[in-house]
Amino acid sequence: MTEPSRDWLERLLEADAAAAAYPATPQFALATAEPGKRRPQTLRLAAAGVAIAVVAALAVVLALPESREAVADFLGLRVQGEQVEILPTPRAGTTPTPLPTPVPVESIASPITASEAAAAVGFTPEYVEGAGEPRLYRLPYLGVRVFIAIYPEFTLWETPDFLFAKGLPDGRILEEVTVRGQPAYWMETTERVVRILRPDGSEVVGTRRTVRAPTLVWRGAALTYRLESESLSLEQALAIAETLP
Amino acid sequence: MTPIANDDAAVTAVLAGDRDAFASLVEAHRERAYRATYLVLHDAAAAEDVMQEAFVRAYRSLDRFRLGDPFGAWLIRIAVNLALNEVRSRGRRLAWLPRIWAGQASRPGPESTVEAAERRSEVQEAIATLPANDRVALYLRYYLDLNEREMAVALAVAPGTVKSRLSRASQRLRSVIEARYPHLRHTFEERGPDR
Repeated sequence: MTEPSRDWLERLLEADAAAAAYPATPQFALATAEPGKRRPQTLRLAAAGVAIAVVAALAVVLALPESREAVADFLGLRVQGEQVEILPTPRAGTTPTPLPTPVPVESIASPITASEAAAAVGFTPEYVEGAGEPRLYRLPYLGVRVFIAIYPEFTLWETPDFLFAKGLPDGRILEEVTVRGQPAYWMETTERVVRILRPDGSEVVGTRRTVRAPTLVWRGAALTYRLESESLSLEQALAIAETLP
Repeated sequence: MTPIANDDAAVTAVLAGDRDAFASLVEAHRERAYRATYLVLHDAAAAEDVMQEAFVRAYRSLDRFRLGDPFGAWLIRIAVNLALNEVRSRGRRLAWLPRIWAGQASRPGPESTVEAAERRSEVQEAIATLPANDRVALYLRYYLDLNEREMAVALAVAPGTVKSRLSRASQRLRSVIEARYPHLRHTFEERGPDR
């Protein structure tokens, strides 16, 4: 779009644009459904080796700037409302994109009281008896129904209808367990990024965070739970999970 | 990743079931789309989040992409709309943006570093006063170098509307600069048409 002559404003803008500096374009990891479809496809993965359920690739991971593209395997586990993606292993000689600095839950959530919790999150949250007095939070995003209770020994996330999604380094193990006879899994790996997805699969901007704590994820009668704890064992986490409906 | 001859071929391949082909589209267009998002948000982390969602939406909406249109501009449209939504939803004020802009590294030029930084700050401050549509039009044209056809797709307007949109945005910016930063006009008038 060449103008016959450029006036002072155009020269000014072009000079400003030429001087602009941008952050390095990041690597993107995407969970994608079939093109043209509005809901993410949840795939069930067949057990292989240990106790991981794995089925098929669902996603595209975008290439790092210099060279390569990599396709991530997205694992649809048997826990409703949970999606796990296995991130590609960085090639030799490349530097993987660092994970975001871990932030406390409080930095992305808003405090609420027990009396206002149900109205604030849009469903009746469940509590763990005998685990101490929790600090209560909700995610302050329109239409996002996530309740968070931070107990002295663990953090419990509850949602009736949203997806948790996370990226794991390749080669990590998820241990498949059961809670009340229903599929669940225990993740005890290095840090990973956890995101909140809307029912249509789109990410709730601002909910991404790095998690280091071992995590138990399961689907209850009406809610999907994720229990994160730095101190509890799998057995202890399962014992807590069994108390929730 | 098998190289795809062009964007239309890649889109066709994705719609036919070749999901890997989407990676070639992303690789080809992610930088400019990310920069467009960053220009709107001036926040690298937020821009990354928005781009993540933009790619997902582009993938899911691929059946609505018109073959023959510039894919990169179509992706920018999705990304910029999401970024503007993000600005609105967070109620962000843009007044602080020039400071960020001025604090970044830049290419060396004939001006002193301080002078260049001050100028960039003032230009961005002036742009930040404009309505969102005007800002986006200027960013697409001057900062991302989109041509008229690409701008039409990115702005979702008829090609004939691009010039009037740009003209309106430029006129508003001109007024702001003349009122608040008249020295900028003088500087660039004195420089003359050569570059």
